[in-house]
Amino acid sequence: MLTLTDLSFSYGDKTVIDHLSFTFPTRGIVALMGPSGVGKTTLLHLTAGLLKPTHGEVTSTYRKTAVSFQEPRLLNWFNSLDNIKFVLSKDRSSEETALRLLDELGLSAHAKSLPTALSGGEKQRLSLARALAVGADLLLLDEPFAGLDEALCVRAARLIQAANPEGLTVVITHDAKHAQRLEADVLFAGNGAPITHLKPH
Amino acid sequence: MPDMKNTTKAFLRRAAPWLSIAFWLLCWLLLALAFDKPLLLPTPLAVVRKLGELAMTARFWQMLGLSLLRIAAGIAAAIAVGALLAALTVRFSLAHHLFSPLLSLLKSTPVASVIFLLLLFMGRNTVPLFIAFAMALPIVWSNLREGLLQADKKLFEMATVFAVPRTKQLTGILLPETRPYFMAACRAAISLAWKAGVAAEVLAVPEHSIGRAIYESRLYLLTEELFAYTLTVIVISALLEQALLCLLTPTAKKGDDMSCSR
Repeated sequence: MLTLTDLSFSYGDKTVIDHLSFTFPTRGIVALMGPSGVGKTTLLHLTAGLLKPTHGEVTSTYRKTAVSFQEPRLLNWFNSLDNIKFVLSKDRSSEETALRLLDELGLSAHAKSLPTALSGGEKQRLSLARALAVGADLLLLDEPFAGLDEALCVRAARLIQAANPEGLTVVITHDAKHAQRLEADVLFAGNGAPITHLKPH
Repeated sequence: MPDMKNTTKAFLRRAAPWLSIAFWLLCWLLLALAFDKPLLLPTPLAVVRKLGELAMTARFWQMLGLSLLRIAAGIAAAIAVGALLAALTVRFSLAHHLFSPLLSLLKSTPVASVIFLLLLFMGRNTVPLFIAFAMALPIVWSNLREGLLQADKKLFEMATVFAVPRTKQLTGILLPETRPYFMAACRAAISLAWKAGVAAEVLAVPEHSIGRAIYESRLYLLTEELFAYTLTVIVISALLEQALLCLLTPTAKKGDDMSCSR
């Protein structure tokens, strides 16, 4: 269960989230949509525990969280495969999982490449592969389709759908087509800043 | 034709440092010949010959070994303490406020004053060690502090979300992030600490040391020996820097390997 209780957050004087209360469905995929710059990423970071609310709280009963960030946050001194292995525990299956995901996201040729040699879209896919690899039951994906062509969007959507059947996946997207492709429940983050409510669509 | 031009350019680029050294050695030789006072300015050949003679004696290697040992111990201690202070002053602002005057003091106090002050409190054999420590500490400390401050916080956030253990965060993020700062610190600290350490030996004249040998050769006007020992100090400084580079630069395997590339 993921619950936001009277949640507020401000960057200095600017309130981004204002007394927001919401309980997410226990399982399934939720697409979080809303105008650009409204604070969707901030909300995602609050749920991941990366930001501290100025008021209220986030309660999560999930065991393991994984995030695919908008900016990929890769370790430039490790190759693609090792970037994924870095967040996995050391067992034999971790390398197999990482290689499988790289293959499915069209990155197998880049398994031994450093992130600095990858394009923006490839970095984004690597970040997605890393998030999908850990077997999290709370999966938070910030614009995972950014920079992907149509064919890759289809493959990525299939992987996201299969990745976390028992838990909750929250996907930030600005494109309703992606939400449809994921067969996700859509939530609109208010009508403008600050976010005061999440409206099911 | 362009191929030949490129080969010549590449050769000149590789040979440039050696050609430059050869040029300055030639200048020295011409100056020494023109001056014609070996007691004041011996020729490079005479210095190398003297160095060869010295290198045949056990005393030379004993002095060199002990000087290196003293100064290396000071540098190693400075690296350990500097890393600790950098971490403390980044983590706790109180520690930063408490220790930063010390850093400024160490940076601005003349090395000769420190040597004479230390001679009041400790034996002559340990002064070079402390001088090497005092010279290297502020460099290591301030560089590592800067490295820690510049480390990308977002990478640590990522690792925290994925519940990556702290030790893995240390080796996988912190060390690679701060490595360039650490290398720069070590390069600067080693060459400065080595020179200051030898200077401390010249003033403190500890037993079996290059500094003492330099002091005595100056005292007895053994100019060739003075030059030979000075040349030794310069060569050792360059070798130490190279050794450090070899030690700290990871062996990248043709770019596509997982090894660190920075």
